[in-house]
Amino acid sequence: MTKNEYLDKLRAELKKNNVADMGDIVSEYEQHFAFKLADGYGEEEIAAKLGAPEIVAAQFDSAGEAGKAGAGAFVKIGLFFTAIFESLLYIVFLAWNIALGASAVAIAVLGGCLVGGLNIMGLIPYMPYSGSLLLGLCVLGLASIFGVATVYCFAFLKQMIKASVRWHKNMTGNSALPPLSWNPQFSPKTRRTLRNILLWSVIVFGVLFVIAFVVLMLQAGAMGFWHHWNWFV
Amino acid sequence: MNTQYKKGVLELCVLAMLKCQDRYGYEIAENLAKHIDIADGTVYPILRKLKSDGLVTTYLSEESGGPPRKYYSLTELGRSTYEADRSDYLEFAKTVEMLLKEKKDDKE
Repeated sequence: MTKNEYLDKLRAELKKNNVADMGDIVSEYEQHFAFKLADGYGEEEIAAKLGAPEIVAAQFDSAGEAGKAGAGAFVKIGLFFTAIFESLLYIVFLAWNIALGASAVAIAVLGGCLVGGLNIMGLIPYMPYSGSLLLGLCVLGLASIFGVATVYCFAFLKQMIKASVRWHKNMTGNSALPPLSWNPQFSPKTRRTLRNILLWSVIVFGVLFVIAFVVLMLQAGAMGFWHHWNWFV
Repeated sequence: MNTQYKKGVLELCVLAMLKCQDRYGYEIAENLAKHIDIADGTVYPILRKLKSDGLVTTYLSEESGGPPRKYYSLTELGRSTYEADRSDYLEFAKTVEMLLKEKKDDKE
């Protein structure tokens, strides 16, 4: 069998078996011929050593799927709509992430102003500095809680998209990789760090909130110190 | 030797060949055929299966004069699969060797 005869026969057999990526496969065998010819082998000899085209083509059967091609269109339409709904969900979740991140930053700025005794454009109502310092630290703790929540939600979103892409690929393509978990993935070290930050933030926030409240009450000499200093007027 | 039996082991051999360096298809085919008695055409279906299983990826590389060669390279998944399958196989081969030896001793 000459090179062209062999490749034609191979192409026909692959087509008969409904193997995907036929051109790619045939070009690999074409290259094999080219390399062997360069080494001084004859076409007949190379073809004989490759093995009969029918046998070679049959070995590709398991890789390309004969059955999936028919069901393909239906599955693809379904997947397409799933993808639309999914992306809507991701957009909403991304917006939530951005809002959460912005809140963390805003709260951190407020905390910084309270601690630093800055009152930009008189937005922060009057209170004595010792109370402001305590309240500021408490607010920074809250900002840190929001920060951790943002990081966690963002990792969640990322992993969700990753898992979904993997799932779509597995449904359409012939590559069946193991499905990914939907849960956010952190390295053990990062997970420990995040957990510690969150724990301490909650403690700082809770304890300082109570202390700041009591201190402000004592300074104002009234239970409702916000009335005393006319915060909401 | 039984071809069907060889096929599973061939995948492992291909992974082993790619462990240290990326190689192009012909190189792998030649190397395998040198050591194991198989038809040259058998290697490409194996490479394709490894690729669709996500164990290897391919890229084209321009060589001096001549068509671009398709190189195969192990993925992370391929690397871990290789390590696991390799120790499985060696363990298995050790057991088989031991069993076969015992049989010989019994006959003698």
